[in-house]
Amino acid sequence: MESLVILRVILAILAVGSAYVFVRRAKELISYLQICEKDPMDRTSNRDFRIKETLKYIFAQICSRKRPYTAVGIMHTVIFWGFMLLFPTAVEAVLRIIFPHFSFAFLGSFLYGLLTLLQDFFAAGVFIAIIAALIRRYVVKPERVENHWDAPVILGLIMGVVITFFGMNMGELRLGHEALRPISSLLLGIFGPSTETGAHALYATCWFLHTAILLVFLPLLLYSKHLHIIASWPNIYLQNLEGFKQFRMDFENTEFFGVNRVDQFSWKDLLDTYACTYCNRCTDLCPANKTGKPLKPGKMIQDLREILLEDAPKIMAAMKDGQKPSPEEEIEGVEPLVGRLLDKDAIWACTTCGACLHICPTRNEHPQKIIQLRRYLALMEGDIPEEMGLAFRNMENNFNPWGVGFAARADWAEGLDIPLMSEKGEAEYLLWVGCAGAYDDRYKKVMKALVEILKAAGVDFAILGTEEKCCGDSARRLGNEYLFEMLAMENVELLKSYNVKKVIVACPHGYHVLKHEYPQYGWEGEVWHHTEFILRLINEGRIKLKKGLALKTVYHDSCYLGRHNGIFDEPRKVLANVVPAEKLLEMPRNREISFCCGAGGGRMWLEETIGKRINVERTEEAINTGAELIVTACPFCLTMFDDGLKNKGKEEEIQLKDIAEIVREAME
Amino acid sequence: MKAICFVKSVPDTETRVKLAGDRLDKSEIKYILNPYDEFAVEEAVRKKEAGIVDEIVVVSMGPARAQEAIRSALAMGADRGVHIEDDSLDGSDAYATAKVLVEALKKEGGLDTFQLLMFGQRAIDGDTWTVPSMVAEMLGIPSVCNIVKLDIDGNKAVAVRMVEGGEEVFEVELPAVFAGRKGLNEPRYPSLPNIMKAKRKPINKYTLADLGIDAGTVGKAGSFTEVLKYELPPARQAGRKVEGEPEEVVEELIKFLKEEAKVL
Repeated sequence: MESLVILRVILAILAVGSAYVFVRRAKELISYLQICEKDPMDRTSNRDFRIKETLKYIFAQICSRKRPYTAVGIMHTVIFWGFMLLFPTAVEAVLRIIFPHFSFAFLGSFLYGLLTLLQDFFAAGVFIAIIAALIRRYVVKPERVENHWDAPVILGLIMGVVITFFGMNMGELRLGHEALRPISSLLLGIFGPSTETGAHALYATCWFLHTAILLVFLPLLLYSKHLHIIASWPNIYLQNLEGFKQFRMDFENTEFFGVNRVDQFSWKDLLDTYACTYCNRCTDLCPANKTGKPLKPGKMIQDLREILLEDAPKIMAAMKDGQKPSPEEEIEGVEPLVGRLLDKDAIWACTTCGACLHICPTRNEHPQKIIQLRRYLALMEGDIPEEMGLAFRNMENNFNPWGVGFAARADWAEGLDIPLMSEKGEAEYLLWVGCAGAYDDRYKKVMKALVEILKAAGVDFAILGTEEKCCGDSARRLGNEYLFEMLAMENVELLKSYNVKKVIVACPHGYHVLKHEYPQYGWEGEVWHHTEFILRLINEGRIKLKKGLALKTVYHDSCYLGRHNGIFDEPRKVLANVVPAEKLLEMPRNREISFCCGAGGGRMWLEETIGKRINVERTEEAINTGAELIVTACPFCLTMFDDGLKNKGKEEEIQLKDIAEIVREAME
Repeated sequence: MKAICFVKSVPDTETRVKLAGDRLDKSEIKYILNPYDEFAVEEAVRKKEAGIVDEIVVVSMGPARAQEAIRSALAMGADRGVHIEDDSLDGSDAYATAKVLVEALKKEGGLDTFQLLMFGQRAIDGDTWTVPSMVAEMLGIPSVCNIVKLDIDGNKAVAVRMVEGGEEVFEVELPAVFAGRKGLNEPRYPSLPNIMKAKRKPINKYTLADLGIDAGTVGKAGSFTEVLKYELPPARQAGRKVEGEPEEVVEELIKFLKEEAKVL
């Protein structure tokens, strides 16, 4: 028993050291967040919902099992639950440094029995899952998994925890401590020990190692990717519940715009980096990364963390009277983020499609950070690709990215007898035409079809004609917040002046901006995407459709309609009214893991010179379904598929239409 | 060395020109800085960034809206503006305009102060292409127009000019007039801080009296040319498609070219 005393003393010293390192590191990590900027989003209201989400993400582990990662998600779920269940044993083991006989057996035979039973099974499950994880990491090696020093160390420690857990149990069982531990009993039967001395030794060794591993593990969490075990809790609780959007800037009182130094990000941007699990599913789903562009959203988050750890102490050292150094001030050893965190090619490569946002198990926000860097380049440096400058000038001078004269904005409507707001004064619905509807020859046809549907259904609507301006989506996503603000303010004034309460929008980008971002400028109303509105007209019996479009049809989810606004079912239900069920196909990447067409985030106006073209990749996916008709619900997607089909020489074989056109043709 | 850029406020390239009778209806026109002038301003700013030029002045003659064009140039990096505004200037042709610009230059210090005189090769509204050369002629200094490259070394400049099927390389002594075209550089998209700064940069305002110009020597009275009226080009006619066997089509086409188009 004397040896146990020595072991207890060693562990007690280790425990103090472990707690000291843990607390010191935790303080450090928190202090780094404190030098960052305020976060513009409300992240605390809606408490009950937040608690529910956190429990769902953490305890139910829905985060890790989202497709297409369900298999590896189950592995993680087992490890997580094994971890949770072994926690009481960890507490017991640590408390036994002081109270050698401490046990949770006082909970009663039912509760404790249930605990020990579950522990045994989950510990075995963890053992198998760790072996699976090691095989995956070092034999299968999926592309997205990057092996740092910490993964094998932590996996080894967890393995050690599980093995010593069984060892302690076997020792105790042999010594007559009865417990409901079927697997430990089984192992005892196979491996012994036969003598009581042997059992003592096994227990003592395993307890010592178990506790020692835990005490090493604890501070190590804060130095490894396993920081997510702690940081994911607050990060999921504080997640963005308002959807993807950018925030207004204070142009009057600020002289620096965007981000080029780590502390110019919000503290929540950096908490994201603590919560990152390094799973790199974001990178795996990223359309830019998939097609060979130099953008890896996962690596960006991880590099940002490294940069924070490196730069924050230097920035703090340069602080005077609690004031951070100004953006212009040189701080020794602190280099700008552009070119260090991401190269310009990577910064402009993001389509803001939100696949990363959807899949991130800890609710990190990647595109928002990229847009902050874009804001720096566009607003502070004017350092933008040539064609982007042209799109900006077009939006400035003619209020549309194409640059066609603003006086021509209502030309598409000539002869269609569409009432103008300026003539009619008011209408129940405003039809927001958008730049594509007004200027893109292909989309004008869609707009015409939509108008015919609305008229057939007897909807009271009007358009703004030449008074309407670009919604500003592309400008905002490309970081030109100043241009966006000018357009938004003028549009909002116009909407208010006609007292507009309900809007129908065909372009998901305009839909998104009107619905989620114009409230920042003081206009709020009911905003309908045309697919939603058409479904309503069908459901209300206001339009009648002939079923029987005998073409194999595949629908492509627009990112701003689907992932960013959750409109997955409406377009499919509309199509189900026209196309027989057996003709409706799906692409492998559909709904919330839909693959971007390549035009989002303002990329519509940029050349795509690196890697494979995103629209070609997506068009190939659509062609491979065997579809005879591709259906979209977004003007950008329509353009990208049009180009994609031409690129593949399939434009004669495969039809391409907007959902409004399908409905118009099917009307009785 | 100081540079002076002469710029003009012109209707946006996408303007749908409307007429009120035989005059221009200017009510719905969006005005911009003449795109060719951007090449001139950009080149001057680059010369400043290279340490060759130490001040850039932007001059524009025109109504109140000319100030916006000046501000655009200031946002690109020019230092200060000069705006010449006077009702009597209405109707000035290229010659009268050149005269006024020369007086403004003299008012600001003349050729003792400015060695680099920059223009866009033409303004997209009047499209006369002549003002830069006229200014040079009036000042008795060299001019190189339609340039795509400009190198300055001391008081000498080497400019490359595009001509049919090739390039001409000129060496001129400064001061001289240069008129830029596409290819000279890629005009920058001004950064927001520079747009903000441009709002606070000074603009000197001159009337004809300030410049000591007799109103009778400019405007309609001082011009050699006068715009009598504006006319829109005829609306585009729908095309005609000739269908059938190749022999018939060719035959019909030849008939059309001979009888209707009368080009054969």
